Amino acid sequence: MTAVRTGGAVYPRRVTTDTLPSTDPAAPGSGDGEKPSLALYLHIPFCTSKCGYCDFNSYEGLEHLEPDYTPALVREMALWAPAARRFRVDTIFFGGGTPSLTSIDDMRTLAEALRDQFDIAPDVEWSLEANPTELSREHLEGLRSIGVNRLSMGVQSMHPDELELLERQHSPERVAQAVGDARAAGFENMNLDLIFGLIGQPLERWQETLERVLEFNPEHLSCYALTVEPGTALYYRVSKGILPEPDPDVAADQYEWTRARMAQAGYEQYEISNWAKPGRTCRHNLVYWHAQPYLGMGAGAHSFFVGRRLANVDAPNRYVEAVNESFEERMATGRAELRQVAGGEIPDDATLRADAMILGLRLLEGVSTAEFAARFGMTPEQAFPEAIVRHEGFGLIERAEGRLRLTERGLLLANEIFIDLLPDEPAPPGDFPTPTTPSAEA
Amino acid sequence: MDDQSHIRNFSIIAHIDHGKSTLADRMIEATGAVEAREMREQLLDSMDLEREKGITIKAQAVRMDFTAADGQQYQLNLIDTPGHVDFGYEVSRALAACEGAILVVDATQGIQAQTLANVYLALDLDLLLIPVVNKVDLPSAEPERVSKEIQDVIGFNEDEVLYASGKSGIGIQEILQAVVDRVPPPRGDREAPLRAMVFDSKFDVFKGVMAYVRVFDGEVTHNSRLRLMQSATRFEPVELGFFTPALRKTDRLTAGEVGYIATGLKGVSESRVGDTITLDQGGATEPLGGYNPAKAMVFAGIYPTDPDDYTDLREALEKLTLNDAALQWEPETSAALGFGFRCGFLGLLHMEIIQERLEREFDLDLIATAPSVEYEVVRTSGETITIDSPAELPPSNEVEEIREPWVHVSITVPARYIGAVMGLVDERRGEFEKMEYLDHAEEEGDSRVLAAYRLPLSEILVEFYDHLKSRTSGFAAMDYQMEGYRPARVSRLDILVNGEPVDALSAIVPTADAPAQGRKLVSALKELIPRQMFDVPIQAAIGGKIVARETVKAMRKNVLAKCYGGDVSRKRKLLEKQKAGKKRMKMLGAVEVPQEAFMAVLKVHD
Repeated sequence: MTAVRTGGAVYPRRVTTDTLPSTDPAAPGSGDGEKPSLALYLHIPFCTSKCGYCDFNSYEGLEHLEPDYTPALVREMALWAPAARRFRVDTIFFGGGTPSLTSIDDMRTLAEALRDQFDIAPDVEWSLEANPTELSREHLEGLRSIGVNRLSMGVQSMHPDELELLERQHSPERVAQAVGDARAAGFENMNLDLIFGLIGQPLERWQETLERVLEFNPEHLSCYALTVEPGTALYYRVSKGILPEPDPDVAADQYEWTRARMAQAGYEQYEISNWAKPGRTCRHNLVYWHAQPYLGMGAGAHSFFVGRRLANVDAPNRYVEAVNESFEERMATGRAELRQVAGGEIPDDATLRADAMILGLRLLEGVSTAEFAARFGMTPEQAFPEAIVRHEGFGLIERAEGRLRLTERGLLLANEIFIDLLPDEPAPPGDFPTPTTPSAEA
Repeated sequence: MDDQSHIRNFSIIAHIDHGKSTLADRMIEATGAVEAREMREQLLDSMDLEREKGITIKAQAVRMDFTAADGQQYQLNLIDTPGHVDFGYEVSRALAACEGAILVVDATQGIQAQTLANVYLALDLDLLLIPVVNKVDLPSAEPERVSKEIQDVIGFNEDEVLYASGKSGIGIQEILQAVVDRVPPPRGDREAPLRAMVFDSKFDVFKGVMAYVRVFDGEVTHNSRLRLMQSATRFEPVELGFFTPALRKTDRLTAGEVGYIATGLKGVSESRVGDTITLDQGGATEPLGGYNPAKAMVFAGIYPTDPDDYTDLREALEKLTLNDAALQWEPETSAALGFGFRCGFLGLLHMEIIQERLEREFDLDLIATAPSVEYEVVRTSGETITIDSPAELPPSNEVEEIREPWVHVSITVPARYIGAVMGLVDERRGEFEKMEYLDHAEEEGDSRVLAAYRLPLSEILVEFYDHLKSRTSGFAAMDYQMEGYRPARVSRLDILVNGEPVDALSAIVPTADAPAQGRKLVSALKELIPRQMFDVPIQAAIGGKIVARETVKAMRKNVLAKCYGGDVSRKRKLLEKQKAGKKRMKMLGAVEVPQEAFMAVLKVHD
């Protein structure tokens, strides 16, 4: 039996749908007869080319697995459906990898399965990540026709040399074409992803990228500072001294300029790395930051569901096998162990409190003291007496209007706070919890 | 054995890697003194593994029975010597227990500085030397050239030099026969009161300290009441014996013989190398000469990173002291580092070994301060004190004179590097003493040179050996011996972090060089101290006057850009990692400082 241990209790590999509790303490909308809300994440791990900085669960050269992958996703939906039908799905997010590589036929199959297995809200926000490299007008129209209504495109830079450094395959011109095609196909809600703080990138170069992207007038912009992640090709080049490390001070200058420029352009910053026009925040990502429940499906997908954090197996072939086995067992016996779940945890209260702060403080609105107290029976100040005072002292956190939030300086130094919010010692590994609450179908 | 004429006691002198152990193994095999495999089985039958570890792994003297060309049987005692420069005194006592020594020189490398130092030591002790050129069967061997070198440098005749290969067994019989023929037998007085010299001692959990001895006069029996003459410690032996190398109990050891006495004593400091064991009643009146207990020459503070580990550190030091009489320590308190110990070591290598054993064998996380030598300070009041820590240096207006230890350093190196060596010695306040050619190669630059210098000990403590190696492409070998104290012009360099003096970062440096060292130290610290939430000034001061300043600028950015697909636990792991990194830091006021910063002084020569 394998189990991933990350704090809180260890959750064993053996998970069955009918041993999950029937209520979710983290779900909003509980009570009043209204169904609680749920976000769905679907992971597509395939890429035509793996980018040098990317440490996500994505693979190039595994296209031969695609024909089995879509059916496996459909089966995983069927496996979760009994537990998830009590929820109303308000957001769907296809992430990757490169979900825009999945054919429209397969996408239609997945869309039908989603509608068959889950209760999808009429006003669902349905996002899909797209790579401009191979994005056609026809494909975009197909996506729109099956219900995808929000497109998130990985642009990263509008300079060819920077795109080359990042090992992106597209050109700035291709971005312009793809954005135009998406608009023509009817996408009225678009996000563009950008990366700043590139190695050797002066402030002006970043300014040029952002200015050009603002001309596309996207509804939403995500601007991430380049992180050199262990295990990536970029990390190798930096650790061997082939490339210098990114300069954090330049990145800080770029970030501060970005905040001012975006405000001037009419965008509201609602999270450390995210800006939106009024009413265009990403509802799906807000679910993560509000620590509300989400169900992840696909290779390496993560869930926070009925109080558990679960992680699917990363390798796409093993994922397909595990789902198929579970599905067959389900057909034969009516119940199934969820073999694709490779590990997870039931976070203890201290971990949940830390998570709520670490996620909530990423939002510019911060954490509501009253809501935190209602959920955990203590205020943030009671839960983290030293850390809050310490970081108020450094000018990284402030209190205003009943909320705790990052200061302008704190936005760039959030980790310094988060480190002090972590529980001192993860709870000692105890016996595996055996949920005894009634089955979801009861 | 009743007859000293059939005993030969000898050592092997060799540079590291010149093949001493292999040669010794071959001799043990050749004399039929138990095959290695058989030996292990025998040991496992007769005792548990722990005893085996306590004793035989550290067997320092092996008795071999050898039938010589004259058909008679001889008792050959091979006494091992410690292998590195910090243990010069231990080497001298092991050699003093012998009448002869085999000088092993690698046929591919020639004589090295350390070998030569031990040769001179052996000659001073009137040992007979048998030169052996080893590894003659290697393709790159130059036996004739190396033989010539040995003849020229030490003064042997051509026919005295033997040729051997420990690997294939060539020449082993000849060496053993030469030991019988050339090494003089012991000439002790069997009727005189017992005098046995301790040449090594090891702690054994079952039998207490095992003293390895050479009996010079008289005899010791298992029921003798004994006394160590220098430490004035009394004991009754638990057991007597010798090594074959398996442990062999015996009833008595008599003049000329080598063996062990299990003393039942609790720590090796009571049975120091060089001490003389005699009978408690009617014993000898004069101890054997040459007692000069190992003296610490290098001092450093050792502190637990986690103050809660203080007791564990004390226990670990106590345990190490059981087996290492040269390790000194006493409690010390630092304003910056809290409670720890001031430790004294024989040299830098000894310090490294101890630190590594503390961390590895006792699983301790330690901070070591920069090493210091022992200074003699004459106060204006006329009083002389010795100090081994910068913190103890009195204010300059109370100091009449400061004296520091100097050492003789001998270096062997190909002639073409002599300029590089000279440059290094000059930078370190060294003086040239003499230089001689060990051989004359076709290319002048290939000829090997023995150069002798005098340097302040403090100058060779810090990165001297590493720099010597790198400037000579790894060819140089060195050895050093204490010379004595000389007046020094030195000052204390203080370091202030965020305006607060940090005692653990102070150093004693040459006055003339102090501002420059201050600048280097401060810039090294700037690289070692991570950025904090606020600007951290780092200053160097001499006598309260700031001579250098750098600022570690406040950190501006430390944020995870993206939360990937709701993987909260992974994000938490990244934060846990940062947190663990911080936990290993030491808080100096509000400043987090990593362990390495306390060794920053090692960087001033870079």
